[in-house]
Amino acid sequence: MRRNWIALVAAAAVAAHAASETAAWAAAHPAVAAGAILAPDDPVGSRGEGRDAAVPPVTRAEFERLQRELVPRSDAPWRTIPWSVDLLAARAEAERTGRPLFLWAMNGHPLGCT
Amino acid sequence: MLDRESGFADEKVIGLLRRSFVPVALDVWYEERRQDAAGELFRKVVYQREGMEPGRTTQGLYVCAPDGTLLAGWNNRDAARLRDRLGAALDGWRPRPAGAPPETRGLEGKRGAGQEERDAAADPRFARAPPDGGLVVAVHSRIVKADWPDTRDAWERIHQRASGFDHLWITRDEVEALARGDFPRSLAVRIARFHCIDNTRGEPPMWEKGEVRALAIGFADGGGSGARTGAAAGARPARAAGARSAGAAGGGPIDGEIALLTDAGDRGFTARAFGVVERSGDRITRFDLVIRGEFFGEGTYTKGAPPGKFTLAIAFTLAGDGADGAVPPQGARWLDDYYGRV
Repeated sequence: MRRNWIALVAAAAVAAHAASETAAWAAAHPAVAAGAILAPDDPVGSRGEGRDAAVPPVTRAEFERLQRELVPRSDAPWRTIPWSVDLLAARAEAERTGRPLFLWAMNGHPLGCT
Repeated sequence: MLDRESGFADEKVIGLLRRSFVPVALDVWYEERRQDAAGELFRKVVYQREGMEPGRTTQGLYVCAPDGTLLAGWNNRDAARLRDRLGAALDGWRPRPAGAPPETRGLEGKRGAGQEERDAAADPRFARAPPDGGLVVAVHSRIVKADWPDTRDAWERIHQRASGFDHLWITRDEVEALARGDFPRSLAVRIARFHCIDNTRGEPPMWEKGEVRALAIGFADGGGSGARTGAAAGARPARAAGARSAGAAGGGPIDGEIALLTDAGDRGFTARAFGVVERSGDRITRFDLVIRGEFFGEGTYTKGAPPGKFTLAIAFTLAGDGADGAVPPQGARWLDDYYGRV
């Protein structure tokens, strides 16, 4: 049996933090602050068990509940609008159908991030 | 995002857009920069708006003719105002008579081109396409617990229950690794840096490499051919001992821990992960992942975070076939960094 764990810890950067808030955060995460590094074969719990006891594991039941709650229905109202994401293709469609273009332009794609 | 919960949730607006317009959704970051026909058309439209000048945000809502002549342009999310503006724009709209010459003067070279020609003519610096042979994963985020201040303001209440939405791109090599039962390091780093973000109120800052303080994501109970170790056998947490799913990649669920913190200590996220990946042959048929943890802080464009720490949850699932599946991840603006090439 093999655990496919990967890890990345920037312990030096953590140690360099002087701000009190950061120090407090590091104190709450002793294994991270101490530079506990998970090697590829390190199992969960072999190092840093409880390295963030304040954040409990996600159980299967919670995973299933959050998947249901966060992933929106495909029939959410804004999704029923036939959005194009290609301005030139939309322009061709507007010419063909005799309709004007409506542009929803945001910093961060309206159908993506934000 | 406010627009999705306000103007574009209004039945009359939806009806108007479906019947009488060709609706397009665009990220102005790309459209302002690209030097090609699409960028020309976009800039032509938005700079006709009253008061618009270079340097001002081009975010907004616009109605225009196919040649780029602006019929209306504004930046307000109110549903009633959106209905009124759309109605007024339609009143002023005169479609081109049948048989009249096309309206796309100045852009004739690109007019009528097919998709391949348009792609070939697109500014390559800003061309983004899902990875060939890879996967597109929809990413949804929400603040599920916070000490929000009491409010009767309707917009604030929308803010407090708002969802963030993005896409995760997984490369062909990473898909192959997942199908073998390995969780690729490159994918774990991408998830941490570009998707463990609070994008529920706007464009969030991503995480720099050095801000990833700890990261461990993998299959908790691998079924591969690796040697069994005493440590692994003795220390398996109970949560990793779930029953295998038929066709589960890696043999067991995904398990993980993530710790992110800025050097200034003003923004951080400490989270745990759980997920299920299933495959059929070399294909990944399910990629469901939840990351949930304690977040604090905000970014320049995500002001209004809850005070103190709050619980942020992020759910990943394979994207459908809709147009939004072609929308690049926010982090793909910096494509080489997103893919870990730099």
